[in-house]
Amino acid sequence: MDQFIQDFAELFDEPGRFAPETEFKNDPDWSSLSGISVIAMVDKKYGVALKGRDIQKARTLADLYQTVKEKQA
Amino acid sequence: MPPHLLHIPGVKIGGIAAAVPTESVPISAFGEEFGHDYIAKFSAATGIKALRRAAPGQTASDLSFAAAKRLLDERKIRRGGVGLLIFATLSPDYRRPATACVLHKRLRLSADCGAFDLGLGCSAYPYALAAAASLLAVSDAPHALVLAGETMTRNINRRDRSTVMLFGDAGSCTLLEKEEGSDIQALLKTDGEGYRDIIVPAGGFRNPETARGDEKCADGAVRSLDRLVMNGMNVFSFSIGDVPGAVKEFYGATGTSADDYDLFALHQSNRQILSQIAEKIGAPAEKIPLCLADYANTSAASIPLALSAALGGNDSPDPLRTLFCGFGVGLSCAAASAHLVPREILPPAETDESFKEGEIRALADLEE
Repeated sequence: MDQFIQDFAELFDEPGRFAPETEFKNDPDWSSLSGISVIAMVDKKYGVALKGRDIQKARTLADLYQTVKEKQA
Repeated sequence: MPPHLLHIPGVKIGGIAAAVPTESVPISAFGEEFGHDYIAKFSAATGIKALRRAAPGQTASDLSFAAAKRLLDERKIRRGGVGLLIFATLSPDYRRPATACVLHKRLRLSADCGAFDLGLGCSAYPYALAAAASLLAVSDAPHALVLAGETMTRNINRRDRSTVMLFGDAGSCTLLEKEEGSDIQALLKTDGEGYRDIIVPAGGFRNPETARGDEKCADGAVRSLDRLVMNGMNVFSFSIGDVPGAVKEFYGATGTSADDYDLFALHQSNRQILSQIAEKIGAPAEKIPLCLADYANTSAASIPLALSAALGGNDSPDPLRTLFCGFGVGLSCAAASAHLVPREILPPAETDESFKEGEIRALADLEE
């Protein structure tokens, strides 16, 4: 989980503020471009193809990580 | 079950030409409206620096006509030998007739020639190649034409920051010829579940009403039902997942690998997507023609435009084994392979001409 938070945070200019309970879509820097960066990062580092609805359904970063793990299984 | 590969014997690509309008809009021109930071991020991710915008009254068929006329004249193709014209576009001149019929008239083709439109966007080029080559293979005609063009700048909402800088306008023409021993292979794929992921919801017969106006969406972008609405995340996911998957299926079905190809003619969607696809299908960057920086994403025209920009003016007579891959609205994707001879490819031409006779502004214009 920590590694996932770190990988996620690296997509942003100031990565210090992210935690498992962060509601990432409410972040002021979040945009549809960020969604695309997340899909690209998860594809590259976790070998899993997230869809837009996976990101829409996830509220927190922990939710998102859970989805990635389920897809890996 | 193995993939449904199309084997099309005895047909080759005999030439490609492309045309763009003269007006080049630099991406920086949108800085005032969307913020210079957003523009910088957008440009870095997509590789797009400028786009071409069609002149007032100019359509996708005008651009494609210019490319076709030049190619036919330069290659001295006898009009009577053209047995088929397919126009690949989602920006037709009229609700009916098929724009291919208008192009048939303007190119002075013979009555002994089939002409129809093919309604796909970013995947249209390899689809149209496969359709035209298949029909040519079983026809007595020596030639077929694939015209592919789009005026995407007219399909987007100018206030939608997520699409307005992504797309440009262009037209193209590809000549197909009979040749013993030359083969074209293709694989056509569809993910109909994604029909909503790139859509213009209004203006068709499901929802003819277009007057609803702009709405501000959850992501802050402004969109409307009568212009392109794109789910960027789903499209991205399709592009970097399903698309390389389809190319790998194509490798498997044809018994080829990346090393067998001299050139990878990929739909010019954006740089981020292209580099991810390239990595997954084993395509080295120097074998991928790119024209995003100058022309942005021109949908159906992007593959022939990229080839025209990269190879036009090259005198080499040596055929290049080329892998084509188009993907997008549908969601739809196709891979194909054929040989290209660089000296048969013309560099992009510029034109602002349009078909004045086609501007029917009053019913009186239809009276003879």
